[in-house]
Amino acid sequence: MIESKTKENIIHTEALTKQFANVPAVDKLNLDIPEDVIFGFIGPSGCGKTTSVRLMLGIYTADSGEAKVMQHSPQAFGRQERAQIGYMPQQFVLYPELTVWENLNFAASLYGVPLRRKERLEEMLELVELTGQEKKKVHDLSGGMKRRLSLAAAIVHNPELIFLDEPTAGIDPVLRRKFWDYFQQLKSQGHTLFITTQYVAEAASCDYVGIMVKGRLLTVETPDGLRRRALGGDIIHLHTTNILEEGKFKALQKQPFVLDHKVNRLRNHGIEIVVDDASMALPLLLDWCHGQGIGVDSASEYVPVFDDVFVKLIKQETAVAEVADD
Amino acid sequence: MIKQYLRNLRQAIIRIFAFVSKEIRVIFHQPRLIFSLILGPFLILLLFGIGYRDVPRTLDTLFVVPEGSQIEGMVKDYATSLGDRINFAGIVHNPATADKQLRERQVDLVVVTPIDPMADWQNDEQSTFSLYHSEVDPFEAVYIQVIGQRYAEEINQQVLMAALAQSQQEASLWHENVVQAETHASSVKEALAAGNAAAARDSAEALQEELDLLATAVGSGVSMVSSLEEAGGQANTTTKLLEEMDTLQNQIDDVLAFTEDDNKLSEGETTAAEIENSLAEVDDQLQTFQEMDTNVLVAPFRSKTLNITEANIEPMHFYIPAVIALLLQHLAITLAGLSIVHEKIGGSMELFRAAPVTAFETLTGKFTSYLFIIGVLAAVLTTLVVLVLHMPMLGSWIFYGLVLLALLLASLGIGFHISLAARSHSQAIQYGMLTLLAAIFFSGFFLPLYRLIPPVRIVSWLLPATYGTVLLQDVMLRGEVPQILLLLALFGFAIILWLLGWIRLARQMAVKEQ
Repeated sequence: MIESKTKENIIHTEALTKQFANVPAVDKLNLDIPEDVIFGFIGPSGCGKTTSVRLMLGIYTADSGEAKVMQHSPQAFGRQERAQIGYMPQQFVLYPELTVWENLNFAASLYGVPLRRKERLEEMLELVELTGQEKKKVHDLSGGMKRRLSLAAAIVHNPELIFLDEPTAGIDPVLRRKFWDYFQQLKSQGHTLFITTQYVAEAASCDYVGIMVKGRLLTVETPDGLRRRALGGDIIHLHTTNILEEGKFKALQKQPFVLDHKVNRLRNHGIEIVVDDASMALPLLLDWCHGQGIGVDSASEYVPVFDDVFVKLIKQETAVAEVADD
Repeated sequence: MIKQYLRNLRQAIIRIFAFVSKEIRVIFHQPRLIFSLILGPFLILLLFGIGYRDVPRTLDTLFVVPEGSQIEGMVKDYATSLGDRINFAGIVHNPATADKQLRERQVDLVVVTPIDPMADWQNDEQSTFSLYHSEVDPFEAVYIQVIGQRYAEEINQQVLMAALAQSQQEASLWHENVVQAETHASSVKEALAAGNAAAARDSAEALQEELDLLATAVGSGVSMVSSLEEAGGQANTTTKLLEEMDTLQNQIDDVLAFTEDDNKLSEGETTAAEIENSLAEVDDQLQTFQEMDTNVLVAPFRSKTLNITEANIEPMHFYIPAVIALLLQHLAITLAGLSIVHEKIGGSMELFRAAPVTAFETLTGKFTSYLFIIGVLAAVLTTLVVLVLHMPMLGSWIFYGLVLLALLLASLGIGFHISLAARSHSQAIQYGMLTLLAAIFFSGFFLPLYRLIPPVRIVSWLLPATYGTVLLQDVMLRGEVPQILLLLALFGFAIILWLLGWIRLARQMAVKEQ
């Protein structure tokens, strides 16, 4: 649960559950997402991300639990609520026979955007870098261009809340980076983005990240918070000139800036130290090494890749969940 | 409140026209599709117009005539009497030869003539011509049966005409008997006037003999004609002739009796004068008999068909309204049938579910766009059939437009229901083809509706093409106001389909259980 004191939650779910053929697709989902953030919903394929999005959009009806999106139940969405939501489905659903401009124009019309919309459409095409491609038929576009067009179609009506279902799936890393730049730009314009992705590394670009596995939301945290949660704190990697003697290793474990005596040896005279706050602990560590006459080659905060964080978290949280179930 | 209502209304119109514009653009971005939609139906009609032959089928016919048959000579003459319908392929004596040729389809028809027709007639039996064919098409089999009946009627007529012609030829010889009888009658009259009873009796006996000969000849020659006249209700020339002959017989008997009694010689003289008058009458009637048209005697009636409609309707023109109805129905069903299934499979339906677009707006937009597209196609098709195929248009163009509007609305309704039911493009196309097949068989396109039993006609009246065919024929070929009940029924059908389609689409666009 995200603690937000200043902003109202734009999405709230409580024990939201959906089953297909008695198999839970979404199991007791509890979420609170404040406005003007990028919320990353991460999990492997088939874990229930798309079903969760559809429940929040009112495309599916929940078996149990409650959802409030913009303070309304998705089942009771009226025109006004729907007009405030943008949705980019996982698949490309626009029309290959139509041009880029015609598709975008159709999407704008669906949301009732007034007819004097030329400037707005041009603005959207500029945002997704499709300017100059207006007359090109969609079946002649590359996969990446189609994804960009879908994004433009999802936000053309300037929605308050944008659901993007795996917007970066199947596109190259350069374009993925561009997409996240667009998302940051949209956030800065005051939009709230709910983005599902299979790419764990993309979690770093989100304000908050929810991890879902087999229909269950394991945790919701900031990217830093996730790291800390996975690894138990900040990590400092220390490389000494010589191998650290056992007596000094044990002495290091007992230092107050070391969390729970968590010190591990690494290869090449390396030592991994878990601390509460790396920025505070690093000077203390260097002072201690100096005092002990330990030669230091390097000492820095280690930021693990999110893949590792993700794997660790899944293992931890799954174990906790199983214990809780028992 | 009002401001919000107007805002919603404006947005609803924008969304409806989003679909109108989208559907039209999707089609107009496919030039080949436009080409096939506009020119395809017209080319089908044109090919039909050029290729249709309004001529009866000519049957290659082989005749089997027994060796030494009396009728062999007349078989060929009679064979050609049916015009082009029978192509005389020859005469064979052996039935096995004819059978082989028929089985090998070298000939279409084998006519086996009776072995001894005279014997049949003498036994008071009809003589039979047997017609053998190898058709599997029941309509062709009926055609051959009709040809057989026509052939037998034609032969019967020819035989009667030959017999009558012979009687008329013989009648020219009877004139001599009449002249001779007149001479005897004159002699009788003169002898009685002179009081010479003996001479009068001699002449009367000669007259009686001559009248007997004449009565026998006339009796046998004209009795058949008399029967035909009586059957046909015609002016009975021959009956009068026969009555006149009976009168003459009575008169000559009277004359003979008067010659026996000297007191009645003057009465005999009067009767002889009456005999002279009767003979003159007989002579006139014989003349009339010789001049009688044998065709009229044998076939006193013929039919003459007159059409009260104003146009000279060619067979191709008759079919054009049905073809237009069928083609437009099929186009509408195909386009609408693929429309929603395309959105479902392509995933756009998910977008619609999330967007503030309603089933009403979606359906109205799609209806309007297809109505416009097919309306334009119908206008082009109509122009081409009128200008190029010279299709008559006797009625009002306004009624024509109304009928097409109702036809298209109802057909689009069916198409949208197909689209709502189908789960794939191929399924939608299959349903569309089934509807086309049903329309070909049940819409009156080539089978008149009266040939269908009433319960099956329900299927006919579930097809917009049935209404379209009848109503377009009314307007185009009869120049009449279309049958109002049918037109209203078609509009009603369209409205019901639209409402049901709206309900179904709203359900499909609503929240999904799974």
